[in-house]
Amino acid sequence: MRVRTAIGGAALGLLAVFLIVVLFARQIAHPTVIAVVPETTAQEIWESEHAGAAHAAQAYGWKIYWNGPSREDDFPRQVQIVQQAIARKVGGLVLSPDHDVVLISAVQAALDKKIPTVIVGSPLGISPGSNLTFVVNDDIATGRLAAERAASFLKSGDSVAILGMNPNLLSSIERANAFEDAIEKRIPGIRIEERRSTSVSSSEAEETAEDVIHADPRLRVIFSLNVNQSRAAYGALLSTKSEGKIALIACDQDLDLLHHLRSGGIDSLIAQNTYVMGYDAIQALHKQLAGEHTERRIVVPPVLITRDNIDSQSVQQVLDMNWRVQE
Amino acid sequence: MSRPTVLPRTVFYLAIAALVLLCGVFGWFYWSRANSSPNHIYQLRDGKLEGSQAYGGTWGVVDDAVRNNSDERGAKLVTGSEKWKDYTLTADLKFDGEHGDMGVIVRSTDEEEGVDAYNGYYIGLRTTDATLILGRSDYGWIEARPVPMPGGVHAGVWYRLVVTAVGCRIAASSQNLSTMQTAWIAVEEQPCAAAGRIGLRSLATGGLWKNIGVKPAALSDYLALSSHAAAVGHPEFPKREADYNRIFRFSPSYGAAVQLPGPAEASSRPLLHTGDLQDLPRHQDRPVSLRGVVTYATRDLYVQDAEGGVFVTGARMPLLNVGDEVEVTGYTQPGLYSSTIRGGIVKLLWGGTPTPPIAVTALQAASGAYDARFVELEGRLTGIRQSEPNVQVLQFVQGGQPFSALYVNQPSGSLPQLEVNSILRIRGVCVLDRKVTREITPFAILLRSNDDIETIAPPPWWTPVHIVMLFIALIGLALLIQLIYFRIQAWQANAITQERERLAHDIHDTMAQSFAGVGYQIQGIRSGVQRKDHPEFRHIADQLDVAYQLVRKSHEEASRTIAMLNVSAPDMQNELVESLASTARKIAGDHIDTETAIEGTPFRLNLRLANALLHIGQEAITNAMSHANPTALAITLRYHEPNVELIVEDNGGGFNYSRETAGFGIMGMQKRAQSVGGQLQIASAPGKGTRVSVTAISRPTTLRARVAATAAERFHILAKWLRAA
Repeated sequence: MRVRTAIGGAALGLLAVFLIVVLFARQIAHPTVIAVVPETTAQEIWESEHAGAAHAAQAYGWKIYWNGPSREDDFPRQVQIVQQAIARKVGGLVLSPDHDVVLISAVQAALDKKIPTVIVGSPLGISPGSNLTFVVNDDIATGRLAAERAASFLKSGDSVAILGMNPNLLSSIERANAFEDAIEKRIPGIRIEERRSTSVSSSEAEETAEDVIHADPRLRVIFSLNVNQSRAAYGALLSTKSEGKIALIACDQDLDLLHHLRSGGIDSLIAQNTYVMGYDAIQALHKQLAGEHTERRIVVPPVLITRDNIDSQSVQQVLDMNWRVQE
Repeated sequence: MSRPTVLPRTVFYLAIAALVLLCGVFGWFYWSRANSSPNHIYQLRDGKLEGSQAYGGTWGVVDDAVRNNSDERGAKLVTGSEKWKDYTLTADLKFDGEHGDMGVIVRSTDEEEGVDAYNGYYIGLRTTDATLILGRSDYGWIEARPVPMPGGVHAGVWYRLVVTAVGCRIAASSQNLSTMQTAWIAVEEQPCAAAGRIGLRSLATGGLWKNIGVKPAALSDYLALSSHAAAVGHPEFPKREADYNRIFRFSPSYGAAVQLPGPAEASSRPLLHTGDLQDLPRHQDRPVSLRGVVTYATRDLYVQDAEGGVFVTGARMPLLNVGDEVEVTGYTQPGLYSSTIRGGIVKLLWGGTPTPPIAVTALQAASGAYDARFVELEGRLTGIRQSEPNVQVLQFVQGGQPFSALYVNQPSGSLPQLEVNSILRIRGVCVLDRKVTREITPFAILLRSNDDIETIAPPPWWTPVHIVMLFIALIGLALLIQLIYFRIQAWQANAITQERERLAHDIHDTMAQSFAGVGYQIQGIRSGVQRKDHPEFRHIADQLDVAYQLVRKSHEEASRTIAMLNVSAPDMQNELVESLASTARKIAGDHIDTETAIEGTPFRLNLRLANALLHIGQEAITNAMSHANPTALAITLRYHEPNVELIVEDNGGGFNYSRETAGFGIMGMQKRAQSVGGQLQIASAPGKGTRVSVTAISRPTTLRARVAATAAERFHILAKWLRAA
């Protein structure tokens, strides 16, 4: 009787252990997942953020969930992705918002669920707090760098166009304002043409650029504020045969824009250091989760890229897109 | 019966468990093998690829091919099993335009909507650098060094992709089916995505796929492809910009005018916006040009810019997809809410990404503010009908505002499974044109594909049918409760009756028998007196003493019966035989010779069984004394775990026993025996005495022990049955 009881007990014990292993294996095996949601996954500028976040997360054994809209103005899809991430109970959220107001409620929902959140790139229309950190580009520096570069092509009486100002993104406004302030101080009497657009339609952006080029023969510099507008402005320079006459200073990096920079179609490009932003965002999340003091606003300086420095180590580090961390 | 030893039984159980485990492992192995080897030529049923799931894009079927009519970045159509491992996928594909990527996915899992939102491998042709590419997607993209496609990659040309994945090796070929020029690529990756579904994928272009098939593959199939490849690479790009710039051949320009020069008339007019068209004079056709994004593409177009939308009809145009950026030149007259451009030319400028919809309410849509624009809204589906061949109409209502959604040029059956009264979210172009709405609803939504329909909530349960069903269920439940109540009442009445019967038997077995004994003693005294044999006073006193003892015994029995209603007598089980012998002596005095015996190793009897044996024994003794005039009585209690047997045997007159003629006393004994699961046997014949025996199983005394014993008994029976089988 005792032998049978012992065998039965052992079998039941083994069964219990097996069930526990099966039931809890997923939780044991799965590391903390951090959702990193860029403005879009269709532009290489955000691949650098992916790389920075992945490298930082490796140190903590975290896994990165990376997904975003297929275009940078698709904020409904971005809201949906954030909501899905919240539903999955991610350990943290890193968001590069497509709209400075629309995404507030989604971020608030994450904070309500005690999910630490970091805003990367363009700031959101709310104040950072204990669980909400901003790791943003220094847009004022971007505007000033662009003005400094533009000044070398301009003299009093010339015109400069600022294209792609998007009221949905605070960074866009800040860059434009900083550029205007700096260029007016540097070259008094400069004429500034400013065009706003909330659309990322390339044809509309190109049409706008062509209009500006046709309308003002004294135009010497185009300062374009985002990837889409820079592509369109480059197309407009080609279509109006204005290469060499008008310098194009672009904001934000993308492979084709950098290729055009190398080939001379684009004068210079002011890159956001999204690699560092992604890296710092994960560090900030780690501090938040550890209950350590976190800076509420981290400002990352931009990098001016020209044909002279594009192959330098420091610039190529900014343009690192290798998100695949080697184990 | 000899008890089996522990070891053989344990071995038997272990053997059964091992057999079950073996069967399970074999079944799992067979099942996994059966599911890991695909062999399928895909049929295009009901206007869609069998068992497919779309993630982005505007998917449909045109003739014998699957078509994505959208420039969505990373649009996917996935099918097959996650367990598929080593296989060869074949598909023919054709680009709509000169930009973008098209190809197939293998070993895909965890798919979501998004550019690289899946875990698997993508093999495709890329127009921008005219290469065959193979890479790994894991919510991020990393590719091997691309291989130039001889003759380039062009729109309108069919290419055949053959992809073989074996282990962690993947090889592919791409063949231009017009020129038969071919490129090969091979990749190894460790660790790799080892199994997954197949799929079709495009990025920033629309196109067609056909002749899609999948079959099992072996290493030889991989080697047959990879042997043509220049090298076996591995996913490594992009790294840094400079690395990528060295290997990637960028197309000369993204500029529209440089890439795709249009007719002179297109650029001779100033470009307008859709908002400007409404300010033009009415009743006069005016030539216009505008740029925008295609939101709906069939023979006619809907084009949208930042200010609104416009309907383009009767224009010459290339093959266009949703998301294409175009320049439209033609003649227009302002309409009520939006304009129509007739005739003219549509020029493709850029391959783009489809415009996200504007979320509106039905009331806003009905106001005309969103006419010809791409919108998204929710509504309750009220009906589905076919208005004309290949036009299916979904009818909706939202906040009392009815509207319809038209699914044009799709065969019946191509719609997903939709239930009336469910809440759906639909995306499409909002149209207030009465030719479209037929004046039935204020506006209609033109759907592009099944993916424009999303079920938000199923129909509510409170439909009339469901309410009737619920009512019937409630009535049924009430009847059931009533039935259970009646049954409980019946059980209660039955229990009371049984208890009364038990009390009757107790009284009969105890006090009635004692009274019989008293009567027997008084009768003896009376007989002696009547015979005038001058019995000694001492003898009479003895008989009276016995009668007194019987009366006292009756009193005790009455007390015990009352006590049994609540508590069992603790000594009954320990001194059963002695109690019975005492009963016999008290009834018969010295007239009979009473012998008692206990055989076997005594064990503790449970109270209920001991009580039943006592009363059965008492009844047997009383019957013997009353009717058989025995001179000897033997009382034996035989223990044979778990059985116990009580035998009361006398040498009296005996009788002819039959069940049919059994009296109240014998029936009482039988009932008592049955109540403890025992068996009563009576053997008697005239002149040969009577033998009453009752055999029962002694149940364990605690509840836990009883449950364990019952389970062991059932298991023992099952094992016996299995062995017999």
